[in-house]
Amino acid sequence: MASFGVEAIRYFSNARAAGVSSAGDLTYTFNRSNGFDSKLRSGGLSRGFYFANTDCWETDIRDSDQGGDDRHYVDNVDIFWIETHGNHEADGRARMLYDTPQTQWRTWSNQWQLGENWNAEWVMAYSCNTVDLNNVSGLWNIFAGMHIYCGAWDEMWDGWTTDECGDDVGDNLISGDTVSDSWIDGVSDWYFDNHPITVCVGDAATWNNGNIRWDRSYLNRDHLWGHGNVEPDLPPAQQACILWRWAEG
Amino acid sequence: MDEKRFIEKMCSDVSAPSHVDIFAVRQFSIEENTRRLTRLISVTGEMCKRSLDRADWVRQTDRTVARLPQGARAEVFHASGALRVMTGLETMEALFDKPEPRELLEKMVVGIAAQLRIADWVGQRESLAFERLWQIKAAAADQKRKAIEPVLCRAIGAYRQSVGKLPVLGGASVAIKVAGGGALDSVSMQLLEPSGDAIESAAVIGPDRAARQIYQQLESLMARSKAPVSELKATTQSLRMGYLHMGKRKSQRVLAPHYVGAIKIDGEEAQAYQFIVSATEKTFLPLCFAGEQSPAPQIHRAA
Repeated sequence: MASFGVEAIRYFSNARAAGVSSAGDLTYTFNRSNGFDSKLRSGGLSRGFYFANTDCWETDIRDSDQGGDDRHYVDNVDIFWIETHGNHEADGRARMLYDTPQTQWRTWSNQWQLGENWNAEWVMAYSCNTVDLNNVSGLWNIFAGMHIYCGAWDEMWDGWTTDECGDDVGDNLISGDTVSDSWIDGVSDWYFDNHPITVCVGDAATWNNGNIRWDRSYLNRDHLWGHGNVEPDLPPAQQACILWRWAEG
Repeated sequence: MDEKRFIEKMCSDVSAPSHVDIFAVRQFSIEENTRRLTRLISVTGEMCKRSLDRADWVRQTDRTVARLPQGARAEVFHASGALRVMTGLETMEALFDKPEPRELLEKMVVGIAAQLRIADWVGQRESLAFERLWQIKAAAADQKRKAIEPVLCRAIGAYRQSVGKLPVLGGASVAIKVAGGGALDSVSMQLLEPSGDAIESAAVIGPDRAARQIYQQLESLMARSKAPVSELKATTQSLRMGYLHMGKRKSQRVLAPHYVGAIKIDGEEAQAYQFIVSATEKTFLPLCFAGEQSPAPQIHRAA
């Protein structure tokens, strides 16, 4: 049975008190993550873990080879949902904030290596700005067999009109929409400026000398396990391109 | 930005009437909602010149889903009556041949909206107006970071419902997603129908009072911060007043005015908050500003 994991951080008072960040608390974090959790369980997936606030650790997504423990957490479930504050570095690396310094207060994506010998196919980060739209290749290293990273290339709003995003993404996934559509449609209310983006890697046949075969891409072909087709993993040696799809207003 | 400046800036381009009519919202039974969805499926099929008559109906906890021919699907949410029909296009199917100017895309969306007869879904004292165009694009790069020009995948036209002169704020009232060649990808509707005459005319609080409440809500999110709110790089994006749509999965009994404020904060972490404040002294909608809590905590393994 396919499985999922959730990490959701609403309160950042420890990070603020430590002077690590001025990031404020969020309000509807658990509306979204509870909605995602409930929909995926109703769709027949098993919950691997659901951690909240200071139980979310940066080591859960950091690669086991780099001092983390992803093999037991993020890389041990098929789909992972995280909600926290985020941003990206100038070189395109994503970073996200935690409210406890398990070893660090933040995670950086150069320390992620997902899908390796383990399990992760999809990561969904409801978090601002973790993808640099001008340097999406800065995320390439995270795809060690993982299929799609779903994030944001600018703000993701915390508010009343986005409180059902987790339900919407979950409903889309268990209704047989592609993972890419499920994310972009699910987090967009077509009112507030959420900025969803889905990023994946492709092989040489998909790159096709720059005449992209979009039909072959994970963006077009990947669905949640049990709810449609899932393409095979693409090992790093066979990765020839990085592809992304985003919404803008 | 200090409180005074924050409030001035937030109120700079919003005006509010002294009184606003409060309306009951028409409620639909599941059977009525199924008929409404059938109507939308029918007009969609007519527009796409496809037969979508046969459907496999599945009733779930919060919605009813209709599985339609050729991969199409439709759904209606029981609590709100929000509707959606998807025609079954694949995610990267029917791309636009080239990037198109916004004017042309808007014209395309407006043309499809007319064919879908979306204006028929609102009553005499309501209106629907085009609000905003969104686009979904895709791009790629090779290992040398050589990128291709973005391709346009979809254009989405968002429409806003108004009751009288006030917009109904929330997710797009109608969203029409169009693929290349003018093919319809999906149409969604979340409209609230006022039922009967106004039940009350309520006095409206001024935008300055709403902005002050928003500032206080923002302060409450920043407790224990070493940097006071006044030192944050806060940008007030907008303050709007209108009736509030509470969402697809919530049952809503009345249309009541609220202020919706949007604030962005720059810093190590990008932040974007949307705040909602009742625009009346009297409370008409049971909004839960505190948000939900996490499920029973799962204890993390020891380090």
